[in-house]
Formats: sequence, structure tokens, C-alpha cells
Amino acid sequence: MSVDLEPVTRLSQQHRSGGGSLVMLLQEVQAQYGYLPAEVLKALSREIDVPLARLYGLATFYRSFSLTPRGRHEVTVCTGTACHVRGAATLLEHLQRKLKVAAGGTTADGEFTLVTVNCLGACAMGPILVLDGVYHGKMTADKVDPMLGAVTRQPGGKLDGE
Amino acid sequence: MIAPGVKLLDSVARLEARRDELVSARAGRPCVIVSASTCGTANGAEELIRALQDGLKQLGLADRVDLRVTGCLGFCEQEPLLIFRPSNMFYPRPAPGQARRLLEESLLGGKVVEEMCYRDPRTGQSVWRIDRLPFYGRQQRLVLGANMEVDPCSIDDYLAIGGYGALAMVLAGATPERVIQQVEASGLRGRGGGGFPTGRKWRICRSKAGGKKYIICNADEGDPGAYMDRSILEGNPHSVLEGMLIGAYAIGADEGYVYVRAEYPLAVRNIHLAIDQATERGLLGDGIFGSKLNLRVHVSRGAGAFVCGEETALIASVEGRLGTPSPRPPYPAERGLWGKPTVINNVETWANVPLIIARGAEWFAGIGTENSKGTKVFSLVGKINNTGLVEVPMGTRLREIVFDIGGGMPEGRHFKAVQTGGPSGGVIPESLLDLPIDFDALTEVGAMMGSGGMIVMDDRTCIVDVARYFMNFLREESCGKCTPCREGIKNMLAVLTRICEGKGGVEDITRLERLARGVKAGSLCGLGTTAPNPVLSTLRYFKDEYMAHVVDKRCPAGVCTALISLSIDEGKCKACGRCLKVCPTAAITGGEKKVPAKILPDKCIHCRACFETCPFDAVTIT
Amino acid sequence: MADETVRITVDGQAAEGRVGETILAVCRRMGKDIPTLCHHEALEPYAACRVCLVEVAAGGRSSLVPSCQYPITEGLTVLTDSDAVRQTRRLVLELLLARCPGSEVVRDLAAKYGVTETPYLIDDPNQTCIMCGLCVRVCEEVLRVAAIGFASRGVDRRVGAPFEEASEVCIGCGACVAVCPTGHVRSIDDGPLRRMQTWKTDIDLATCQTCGRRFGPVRQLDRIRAALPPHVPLETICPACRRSQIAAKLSEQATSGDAVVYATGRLRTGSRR
Repeated sequence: MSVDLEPVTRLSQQHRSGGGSLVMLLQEVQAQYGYLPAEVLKALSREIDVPLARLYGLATFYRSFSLTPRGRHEVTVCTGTACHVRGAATLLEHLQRKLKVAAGGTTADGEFTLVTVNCLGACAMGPILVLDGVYHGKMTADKVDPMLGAVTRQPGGKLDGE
Repeated sequence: MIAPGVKLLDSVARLEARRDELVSARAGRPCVIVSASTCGTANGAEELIRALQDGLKQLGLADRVDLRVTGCLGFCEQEPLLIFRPSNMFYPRPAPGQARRLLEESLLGGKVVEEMCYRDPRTGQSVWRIDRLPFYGRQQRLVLGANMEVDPCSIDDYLAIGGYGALAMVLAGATPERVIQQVEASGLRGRGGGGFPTGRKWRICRSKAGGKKYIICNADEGDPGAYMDRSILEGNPHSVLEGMLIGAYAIGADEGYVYVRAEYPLAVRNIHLAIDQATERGLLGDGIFGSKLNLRVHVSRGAGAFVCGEETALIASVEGRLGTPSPRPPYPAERGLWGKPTVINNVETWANVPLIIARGAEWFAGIGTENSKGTKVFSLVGKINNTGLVEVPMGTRLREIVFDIGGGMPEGRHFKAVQTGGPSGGVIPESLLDLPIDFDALTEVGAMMGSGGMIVMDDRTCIVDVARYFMNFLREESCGKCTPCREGIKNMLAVLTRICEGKGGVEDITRLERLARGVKAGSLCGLGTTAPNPVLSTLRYFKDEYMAHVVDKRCPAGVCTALISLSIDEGKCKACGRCLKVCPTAAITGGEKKVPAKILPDKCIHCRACFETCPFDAVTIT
Repeated sequence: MADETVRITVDGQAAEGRVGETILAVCRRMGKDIPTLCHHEALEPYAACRVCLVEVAAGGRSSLVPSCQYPITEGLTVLTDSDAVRQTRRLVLELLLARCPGSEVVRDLAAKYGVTETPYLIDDPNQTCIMCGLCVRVCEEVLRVAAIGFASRGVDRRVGAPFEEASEVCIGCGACVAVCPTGHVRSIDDGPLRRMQTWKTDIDLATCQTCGRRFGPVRQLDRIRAALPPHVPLETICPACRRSQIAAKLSEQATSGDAVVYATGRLRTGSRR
């Protein structure tokens, strides 16, 4: 699988001239590619002359980075304490069963990545589900299914299991 | 590079002139305020704003009435709030379709639209003035109050309310020593959780020989359920910058960072904007107000690691390294970012600094208790009617916060406990409701102020499950460097999980206590040393609930799935069919076409999805 | 100021050290028994294993601190064997024993302090890594290669080469093997290859131009060569042949009476490992 490495060169130059930490550089790289492909990290290591082991360490330590491609749609369940006492765990279990994927994983068809986050700071609306960047409050299992179905409703698209 | 029309504020005189200019331009002008931070936006604030803009245009008012979009106003269940000035009439979450009507009747006509007013759930009374809202009435919103007055994307709003005036006072006549004395005399203690005296920290840093120094704002706010810092940083970022400028002057720093967690995109955007606007006007950069103070502030984003709220891990992250903490001493004030003396303070701590300078240390020290001065912002969340941000003087009783301000528990349920301090904190039971909230009182009872998260729990919250929840959180967030935290938390979680699954014994309680003591004493950083607190605290006050789990194999709150059974009350069931849709194992028969639902015990896995979904409270848990 | 004397008390005894010295350094001079696992003289203190914890008192409060890292201060009171020290050390050893139940080194250390069994979870009975980080740290700090690093975090934290693939930059020097306290890091010379087994990395061994045997890793020699000044040649000769070469030269010069100056510009005498 070949990946366009031009952005790596460009972002490396910016990093060298503008400072900013390695963590932020990786964030920019991930924003560019949607995740951190191995070849990109290797190219980056060469361009900015930083050991690959260091970049790999950062990419695997910080939760916001992913070494594997993400799904077309990101489903985030807030598992903060306030959401937890309002039933977030039940909601998460439901989604894991429905999407047949563990938290952090991507469905086999590449449609959804299910992610948990430890508090979005919007506790009045808990339990919160974020679908493709849009916040939805007071979420329950019965409300979430049609929402997921709606975003996958490409012509002929169906939610797995329907 | 100054944009055309932007006035350089390179002297105190220019600052004051600009402020006077703004104040007189706004005098007498009506204002429409809409709160649109993360919560407000999620609840449709953008549509409301558009509807208001259209309405103002249609009414020919666009030139004569200011529309101000603010950050979080703390009354979170009801946001976005629509407020009219000067009358102070307000409407909670008005439908965008009603915008035009409200503009006509309330803004122009001065009439209250009764049916859209906020109604106090306890008295049934409508409250139509924002300054008479009971929720705010018992608070002292010294820090958060300004959120209502500023659009965070407009430095002019901040200037108009006297912003950067405290900095001007400092640079016009105070020495760094004098500034430190003021902050010491105020009694300000760190608002991020440590409670360390801020003035003392600055003094230590200042005392390190001259040379490069750094100033950092810790906006990592990782405690789940706590979002005070988000609200301040999103809603009034300049207050934080002004505090940092004053701090930089006091300690001799010329460069700083605001470290914001990645999960707060709006806060990141707004602080960037604030820095740009301040820089454009010469309030950041070189020779501020013509003085010798130089300060450049950068934004550094977190990347999903709770441990980076710990100051040495935060520093590592800014340096582009793994967020693994380092032992202290040496403390960052002595050796911090890039090995240089560094002052790290929390967002709320920084936001208090301009107030202390402007209104005086004595004034600040007159609020609060003997050892905890000033106010504290708490996020009151969980099983509470008025979820929101509450700012009260230190020493306010917990009862007042939960019942008078918070409005008590929804559905008339019974209070069980308040959890404070997040994963580092503990629970405060009913018997301690009259506890005055301050640093020392909370520590004495085994809880902790922490960053200010207050999670209210009712009788349907299982306290063992809460301890397990926090241990699970910490297991995911532990950096893994030191043995006690990495291995100890894993083991504490395993014991708690066993207990919740009905497989625990009394000896597990002893094992938990022993592990807790060892992890507390032996861990390298605050994450590890405070990880046992939720366990120790819940054991202290709710031992009988643990015993029910290990001896009777029973979960009194009806939460632990292995220990409960669910059934449906036919009398309450309306056969709406919602439970059928969410049952993962098709364990429900009936439930539609007027036939009441019934749970098949053999197929039921106790996931509680039906219980969470049923709008009629027909599912009972035993 | 660095030579200023600092007076402390250890287990009731007066002791002295220099500013900036650690408690461990002072205690070792006193002959105190303080166990360590992640400490190494050549590396920056890491304070991660927590077996070296001692109790210090300051301002009426006492706490456990890592003696390998904690800098001594005037008037510091240290207890190396108090109840708190023993209890916590016991717990740490029990946790380590659960992590690496098969490791002889861990078992021996635990037994020395009275820990022979552990009530804690054994996830992987074959685990031998105690997460001391010495391998990563020596590669980063001393060799400045950083071929290996830490990946992930928490209970999933592990050491290794990136992507668990063979490392392109590992020079096969074996420093990681030398510092590993448990033998988790292993390597073996197998014919023409140095197999850094734990890192799944094989590196070619250079062939001696004189005797034809395999000796040092090519990458390591390349690195040394690149670090030498340009006029200094580095011949590909194994240590044994080099010793013979030097010995021959020495006996030559001894009979001719000239001073001998070698490629490094310094007089070489004796052998060096």
C-alpha cells in the first residue's frame, strides 16, 4: 500500500522552522492522513532525524493517536463519571454488541470506529454520544440505533444486522 | 502584523482610552446574549443565533442592538440561555422559531412571555430575570460571572469590562516582589487539585537565579465530570492570559504555554484566538505597555492522557516526550520545562489573579475560610436537578450546594453521596452534608477538593461500582512506569470486579486495604498515590454496602448485573415496545399491541438496557 | 557550591554527603543494604521499580522516597528499614513476583526480604521483563542510538523495537543485554549473525581480516568508524588479533627503543576489555 509522503516533507519543514512539540507534529500528521500509517512514521523519522522508536512510543502512548485506519464514522461514548452514573456503561455495551466491535476498534466493513472518552465536559447532557463530531445528549440504546442507521444510509446501505 | 483598524495598546493610557471608547460606544445600546459553548451548541444554539440575527435584521435593529454570543454560563441543564439587556429578561432554550417573537415582545416591547419563562421546579414560580435566578442567587460568581459579559472571540468585550486593567496596575507601579506579596497575602491556593499556596510557588520560582523561566497554564482537566476549566478557557480566555502575564512579570518568565487537552476543541480554538488578538494589540510580545515585560504564549495540545495533568508529565508532553512523570523533588518551580524554573498553575488559579490584583489581597482573603480563601468553581453533575457550574465561597456547606443551588435529586430519589476530587478523591456521605467545603475539611474526611468535580449519587448508584469505575479509569490512564501503580491498580480492579460479580469474599476487603496502603505509599506520582482514595473512602463510609456484595451476594442499589434480577411491573407497562428494541438477547416477550412486556429470566443477561430505556419506570430491579 | 558538605542522619547515625548526592550514594558508602533494580551508575536515576524506597521525615511528616534519586538536604532524616519501608517493599516484591513468577532474579530478591509467595494476579507466567527500563535507557542515554523504546502504557507498557519489527538502527552492541537484571533481553552470536533475540533483530558480524573469524557487529563498527576523525583508520580486526598485533609492535619497539604512539594518539599499554 503506497501512501503519498509529500505532506510528511511539508509538515517536517514546518516543524523544523516553527518548533512545536513532536506530539503536536504527530497530531498534524494524523489530521492529514486520518491515522498514523507505519510508512509515514518511518519517513517522518528520517525527515526530522528523530529515532523511530521515539515516534512509535509517542504514537502508542497517547490515546488520540491511531496506527490503524479509522472508520468512515466515529462514534464516541463519553465514559466520564457523570455519564457513567447516568447509564453510559449500558449504552457502551449496547454499541459494542450492535457494532460487534470493542471500544477502540473499527467495524469490519470500515464504517464505524467506536471510541470512548473520559469526559467531554458536557455533563449536563449525559450520557453523551458524539457522532461524527456532533454531540447528542441524554442518549439511550433505543435512540442510538436509528442515528447510526441514518449516517450509513448510502444508496442501498444498511446497518449491519438489519 | 496588525490588522487594519486594530489599535495598538502599547501604553496604559492607550488601554484606558480604548476602554472608555468601548464603554461609551456600548452605553445605552440594548444587547441580546446567547450562550453557545459546547453544551449550548450541542443544544441548538447556532440555529437560535441565526434566527435572532434574521429577526434583528427584519426588525431593522441590526445596527442598534448588539448580539453577543458568550461561553458557558454554568446553568447547564437550560442552555442555551437567551438574555436581554438592559432588562435582564431571560429564556432558557427557546425554540429558534420563537426568536422573532421574543425580540418583538421582550426586547422591544418589554413584556415577559410567560409560557417560555424558566419555572423553578420547587416552587413552580416563573423567574424571568436572570439576576433573580435562584441557581445564581446563592453563588458568588467572581470568576465565572464575567462569562456573561464577554464574547470569548472578542477582546473588545474583555477590554470593555476592564480587562487587562490589573496588568496595567502592576506594570504601572508594582515591583515583582510586591505582586508576589499580594498573591501570598490573598491566600490563593492552587485550584487544580493540589491546593498549594500560589504565592509561595511564585516566590520559590522567583528565587531561582535569573535566566530563562517559563510559565504554564494547566488546562488538561482530566477528572471526569469536571469542566470548570473548559468553561473558563472557552468563555473568558483573556482572564487566563492576563493572570499569566501578571505571573510572568512576578517570576521573571518571558515565555509560556497553555496546555489544553485535545478533547476541548472549542477551548483550543478560543485560546488561540485570544492569544492572536492580544498579540495584535501589543498585550503579548515585547515591551508590554512600554515596560520591560516580554511574554510569548504558545498553545500545546494534549493527546489523550489523563496522567499529563500531573505537572512533570505535562512538562514531558510539552517537550514532545512520553507523558511519564518524574520524581519530585526537584519541583518544577526549581527545575521544570527544559530544565528551567517553571511555574505551572491551573486555569482557575490564573483567572483569579487579575481579580486579586484589581480588588486587593485583603478583599480576596475576606472571602472563604481561614485556610481556603476566595471562591471555588464546582461542576455539579450526576443525579442532580440543576446540573451546572457552581461558584461559591470556600466554606459553603455541601447541603446548600446540593439542595439549595443544585435543586436536589431528580425523581425525588434519596441522596447517597457526593464524590469529589475525581479519581483522586473520595465520597462524602449523607451524614456529612453539613461539611463546609474547603481544602482541609475535605482532606480530613478522606475526600479531596481536587479540581472541583462534584458527582451527586442517589440510592440507585452502587458505591462499589463507583470504586470499580474509578479503578478501571486509572488502570487505563496509568502510565505504567512504576511498579505499585501499574501492578497495584490492576490488582485492585480485579478484586473490585470480583466483588461486583458476586465472587468476592470478606478476605478481599482486607486484600484491597493492603493494596491500597501500598500503592498510596509507594507510587511515583500523584496518580498512583491518590488512586486508592476512592476505594479507601468508599470502604470508610459504605462498608455495609461492600459487605452486602461479599457476604449476601447482593447489590442494594440494583446496579451490579451479576447480582440483580429484572422484572416488569405489568401495572406500569404501557406496551410501548421500546424495551423490545434494545434487549440484546430477545429476552422480552409481549411489550406491544397492548400486551404488557415480560422478561424471560433464562435469557436475561441483566444488562439493564430495558431499565434505562423504559419511560414509565416499569422495570424493577431486585 | 557543589562541594559543599551536607549533613544528614541515616538510621540514627550521622552521615555526610555532597550537595546533589542521592540518599543511595551516601547509604552505599555507609554499607547499608538497599536493594535496587532499575538503578545503574551509568544512567540517570529512574525511580520506577520502587524497591529502593526509604523513609524520610520533613516538617513533621514522613514519606517514602526513592533513595536512588532523592537529593540529600541539610538535616535530612532517613530510615532505611522502618516498618513503612518494609511493608511497602514487601508489597512491591509481591507485585513483581506476580508479574514475573518464573524469574530467578526476582524470586531471589523477594526471598531475601522474606517474600516467597504472592497473592496477586499472575497474568503471564513466562514474563521476565520487570519494566526497569534499563535497556531503553542505556540505548538512549549512553549509546544514543534509541533503537528500542517504550510502547503503549499502563499494564500494556512494553519495551521493544518499533512495530515489533527488526530494527534498522540497532547496532548490536549488546549493552541492553549487559544491563538487563533478569535476562529478559537476550542475544546470541550464531554464525555470521548477532541475533538480538528479544528485539527480533539480526545484525551481520564483521569478519576479521587477519584470522577470518566473526567478531563485532558491522553496524557497530560502522558507527565507531563514523565517529573517528577522518585520518584515523579503523581496521576490521578482531580483538584477539589486535592484541597480537600490538604485542608484536611492542616487542619490536622494545628492541628498537622508540616510543610507541598508536592511531589514537595515546601510548597504549596493557590490554583493555
